[in-house]
Amino acid sequence: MLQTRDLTKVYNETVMAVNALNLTVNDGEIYVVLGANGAGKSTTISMLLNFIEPTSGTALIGDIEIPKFPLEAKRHLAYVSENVELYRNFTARQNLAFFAKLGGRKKVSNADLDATLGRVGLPEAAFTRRVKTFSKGMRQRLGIAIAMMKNAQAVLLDEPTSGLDPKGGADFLNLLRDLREEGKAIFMSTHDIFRAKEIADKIGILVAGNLERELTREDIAQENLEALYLRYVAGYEPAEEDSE
Amino acid sequence: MIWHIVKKEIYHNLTTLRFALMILLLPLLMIANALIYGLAGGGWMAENNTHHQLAARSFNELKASAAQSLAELALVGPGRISKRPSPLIFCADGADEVIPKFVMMKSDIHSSRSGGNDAEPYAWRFPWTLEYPLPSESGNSMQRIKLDWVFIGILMSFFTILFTFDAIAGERARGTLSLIMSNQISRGQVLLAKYLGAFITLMVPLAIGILMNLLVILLSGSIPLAGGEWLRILGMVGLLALLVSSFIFLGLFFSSRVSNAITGLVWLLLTWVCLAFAFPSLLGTFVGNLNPIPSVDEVSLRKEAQLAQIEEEFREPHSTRLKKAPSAEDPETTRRWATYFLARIETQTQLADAQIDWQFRQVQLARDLTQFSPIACFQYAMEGLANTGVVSYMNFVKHARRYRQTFTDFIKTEDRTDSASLHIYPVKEGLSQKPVDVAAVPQFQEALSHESVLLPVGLLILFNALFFIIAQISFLKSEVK
Ligand SMILES: Nc1ncnc2c1ncn2[C@@H]1O[C@H](COP(=O)(O)OP(=O)(O)O)[C@@H](O)[C@H]1O
Ligand SMILES: [Mg+2]
Repeated sequence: MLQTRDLTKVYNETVMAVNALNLTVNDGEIYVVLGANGAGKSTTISMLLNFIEPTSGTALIGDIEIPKFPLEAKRHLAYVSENVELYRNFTARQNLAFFAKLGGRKKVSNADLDATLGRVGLPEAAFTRRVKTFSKGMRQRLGIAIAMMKNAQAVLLDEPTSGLDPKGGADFLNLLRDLREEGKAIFMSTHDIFRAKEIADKIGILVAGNLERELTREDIAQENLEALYLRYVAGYEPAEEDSE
Repeated sequence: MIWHIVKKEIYHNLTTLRFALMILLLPLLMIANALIYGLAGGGWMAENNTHHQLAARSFNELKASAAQSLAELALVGPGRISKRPSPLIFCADGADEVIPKFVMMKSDIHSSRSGGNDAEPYAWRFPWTLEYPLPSESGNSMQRIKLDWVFIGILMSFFTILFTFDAIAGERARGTLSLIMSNQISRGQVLLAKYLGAFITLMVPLAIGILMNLLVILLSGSIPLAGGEWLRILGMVGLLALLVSSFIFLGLFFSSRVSNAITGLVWLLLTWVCLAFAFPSLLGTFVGNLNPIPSVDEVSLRKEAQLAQIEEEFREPHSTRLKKAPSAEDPETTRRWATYFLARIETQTQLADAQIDWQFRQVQLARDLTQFSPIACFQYAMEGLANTGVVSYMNFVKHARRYRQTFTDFIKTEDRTDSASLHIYPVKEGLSQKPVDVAAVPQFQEALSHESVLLPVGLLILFNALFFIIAQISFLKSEVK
């Protein structure tokens, strides 16, 4: 279980990036935080991974306070960044092996590596190809393979689907479903309403650092998410909604 | 955990173009170094042979004087004292060819008078003094690039920059820094791993180059190296490691500060140029202008004037003091001549010592100021270990001065054993006329002093500590993404 308690980040004492965020991601649940550029999504994930210290408040993985015991906490956290260029001169296997060892795997056999690479849908021919020849979609798959290999309790993904084509995006969501099956707590940020709607168990709408609204699966099914989102995010209310 | 990153780092470096360049260039330069210093123009051997020939000639002259008499030896002096050419000049050249390699302790000024003006005719030789030759003023030889280990070390510091400018900025741009940091690893460990990775990547080709260099020198037999020299070479490898290490920290510092690796590279190159060239030469010029050395002409003019004054005092026609010639039967006159000679010796010695001390102070000042650069520290420490360069000449001069005293003391002590002597130094007629056993005459000995190494090595270590701290602080505060 991943949890934030009044998690707050103020940059340079002036920019309120995240304001007293309270949310819970249960195991086996996909929590999608929806927000425009600059809403504070990356800042939130950075605090969850202790890349930056919160100004106030805290976050927990299980019962470990992340800002207090970052090293211990990071054992239980896997990360997929929005920018997964990885090591261009290394093959997919080498990249995966390196991060697997960093993730605490003692022995990683090629069979293990190939199994994971296959699971995320990389063609076998690509296993031993240098990553610089990969498309964005392939690198994104490799990125999630790295997160899977770590086998951590929570997976944090920062706008992982941006720049993926429809097929790639769909495959990616399936991988997330697999992870949910395994009981991971999945926390993903995006500004892509449609994919959020498709996959999320919970959606949080983040506007200028404030969690304006939290929707459960039922809410998502009932409400007009697009309209809601636009209303919150852009401060824009579609004209059609008034006439209905 | 760290080792995974170190291994990755090394493997990553191995696949780069800059590594290929380095692994090609370093052994090439190292072999060129061995060939140039070992064989070109006869190499070190030729220089060493010349040294031995000159030393032998000087010794034969000393033997001849000693065989004549103690008095003769006392006036002629020990002769030409040469500095042994360092076999480690291939490691640190120290612009050795413009630095003098000897001092003179030999009298070859004769004088005589034919009499008249009531003065007795007399021919004499002025007693020896310690004289320093002028630096060979071949200006362009200063400019020529010396392909010694020092140069290769400076090149290494450049390569170090090439290997570190993107060490952190590059990972940040690729998004791998955040991916690494999402694991159970602290920033300090990441920095350490980066450091070790770069250090190993840089030192291995260097070590290969050094091995090839020493192998060529050993196999060609061009420069015989004794045990002590091997130890000093080991010390120099340590110095190279310290230099490389300090630049890795510097590189990591800049790399962690910038978001764009190219910005880091620009900063690093600027810093490097400052540390390697601009700063030392600017300071050198500054010191030179601040405290100009009196020119050779100035000094010789002053010397002439002072000597003329002495001449006037003692030998002018109306002076009665030296009318008579010294002789063993006339201690009083002999003593007067001794006063005259001693006055000359003192003036000459004072002026010569003051001139060279002044030059040495300039050099020392310039060095002390430029030691703010790790590259300069490295160079000075290398020269100190190799016993080349200005500081080693200073050390040689220090020993030569000590020998001047030892030799004079020997003459006086030896003279006291001869009861027939008047014991009036330094007049020929006032000293023992017996021959001296040449084996008893003290020989010049130059003890190597590595004292001059301590400060630059200490500073180099300090630079490492300082750069480590700023790199550490900067990286701890830097952004992961
Ligand atoms: N390092 C930083 N220094 C100052 N302000 C920052 C920094 N990083 C992000 N911000 C600001 O914080 C706010 C949230 O940014 P971010 O978390 O990156 O948003 P998102 O990921 O949702 O696009 C933005 O207004 C951004 O300008
Ligand atoms: Mg973002």
